[in-house]
Amino acid sequence: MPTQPLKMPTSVIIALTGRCNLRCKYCFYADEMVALSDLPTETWLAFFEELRDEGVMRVTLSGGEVFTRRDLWELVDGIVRNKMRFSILTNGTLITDDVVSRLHGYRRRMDYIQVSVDGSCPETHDGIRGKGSFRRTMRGIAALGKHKLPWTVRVTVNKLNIYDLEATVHMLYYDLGLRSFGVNEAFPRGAGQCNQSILDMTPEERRLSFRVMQAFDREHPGVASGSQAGPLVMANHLDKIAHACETGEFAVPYRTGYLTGCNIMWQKLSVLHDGTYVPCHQLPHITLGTVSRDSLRDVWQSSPGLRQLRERHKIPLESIPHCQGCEYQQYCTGGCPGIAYAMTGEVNTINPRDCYRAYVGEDRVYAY
Amino acid sequence: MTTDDSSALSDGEALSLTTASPCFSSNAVFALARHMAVEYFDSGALLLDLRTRTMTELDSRESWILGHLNGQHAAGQLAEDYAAASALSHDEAVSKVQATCEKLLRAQSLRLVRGSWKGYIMDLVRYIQNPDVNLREEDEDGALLFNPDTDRVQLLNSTGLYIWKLCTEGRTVSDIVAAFKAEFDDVPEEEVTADVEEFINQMVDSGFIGTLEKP
Repeated sequence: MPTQPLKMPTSVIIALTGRCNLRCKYCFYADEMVALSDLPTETWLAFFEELRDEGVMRVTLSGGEVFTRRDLWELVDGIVRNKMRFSILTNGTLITDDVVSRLHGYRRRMDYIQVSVDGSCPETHDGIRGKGSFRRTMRGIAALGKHKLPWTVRVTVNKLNIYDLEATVHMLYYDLGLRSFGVNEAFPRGAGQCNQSILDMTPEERRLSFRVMQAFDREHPGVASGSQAGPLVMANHLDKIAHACETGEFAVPYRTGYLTGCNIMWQKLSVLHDGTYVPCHQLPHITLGTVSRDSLRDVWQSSPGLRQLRERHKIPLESIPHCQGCEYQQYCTGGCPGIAYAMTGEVNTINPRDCYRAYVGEDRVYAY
Repeated sequence: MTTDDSSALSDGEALSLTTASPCFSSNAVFALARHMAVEYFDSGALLLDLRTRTMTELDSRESWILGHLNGQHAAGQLAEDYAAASALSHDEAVSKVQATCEKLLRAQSLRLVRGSWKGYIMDLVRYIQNPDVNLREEDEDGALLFNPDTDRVQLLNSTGLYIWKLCTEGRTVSDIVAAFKAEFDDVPEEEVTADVEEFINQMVDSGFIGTLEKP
């Protein structure tokens, strides 16, 4: 774990808009962000100049749906003009041949276009994302593939698509020829929190997601490693703990026994579509300042919210009431602080979904 | 990056050879400049400058020499090889290789891969920052350069950062060495020259610094 942050973030994740043409049931950004207004073009363009001056290298554009912004090309021009690379996270439904032709002009500066796909068929995908969305998303993917742009897919697994997960990853690999994608679990925030009762997987369903992803990873190593969290990462970590309990062997390239499960506050910064700086879009309640009012430098180097979050890694798990006396502390990092906050109302505690004691059925509070 | 950005030169200004003819024990290793294309024939070769779309004709001896300026052999060694391969005496071979290299340098058809062609290439080419590269200063001891087109990162120590900042405007190796001598005491010129040439060559090869040339 770093002892001091980089002078500036290397990457900034920007929600360009709160608007979206879909109403996905698990969207973490929907509902609670609806009252905020999109920043105007000129404010974003001035911000991109600031990012260049501070040496930021990459921008990830998300939303809302990025392609609903009518000034998108002007904004991408601003990113390119200011010596940065970019990625776009999208539902893919607004990607037409014309859009891809425009995107192709920025190919040298593009890291990837990430499209959300939540099922192998309209029945599953549209059940989460709305009628007709599967067909339009596939049309967008076909256009990206035709022009050979770098694209990838994020699958968000939940109760509504868990039984289609195996078919979905097979479709991505065999039918679409994708050689890198990620699978993560739905995040209990925004619409995802409102719809938690229909989205939350049972312990058996979560274990099924682990088995499906590990089986796929054995057949096609590394292909589904495009997510830093999610069922594959979790399943592999749980296996390592089980192995350690049996053999005493435990070797991981990160520190355990403390709340070290997240590094984003040392590397990246996020911005909401109204210009509010936050440490991560999963922690929107920790506001750090506002674009154009507060400088990136001040926010990154001096904001109390980030300082506190950077102290999180010093908190031993033994000091967390739920974890006191847990024999698995030595293998645990506490997981994502965003999910911890969404599920418990506290940042400085563990993500219950990552609890090994719950996974093996020994926990008094959390069921797995 | 190679640029012929004429805005960096005043009207009528041309980079010229201002120093004496090079010593021919040269360790200079040359290769064809990236903006050049070549077509070989039995009787010689045709060089095409892709920027200016002008052609240069080479005879069979010049063509042989150009074919061996492949970024691997030093010019001094090449003269030895040419003497062995032709019916020329050693002195005649040296003279021919030297004349061919000078002709190709004047046409800006060669680039220096490594080594030095002292007092010659140093004042022929000016080096300038790739305008698409962004500087990210981490602390007083160093920085990194980011080329967003290639996604490559180059770490710089304080010396590299000093050279990078000098190259805001087109600078010859001589300019850079002179700036070093003015800024720092007790720097042996030969050592500095070699270090600067090595750094500049590496930066040119990786696209962080470009050459500013004008026919």
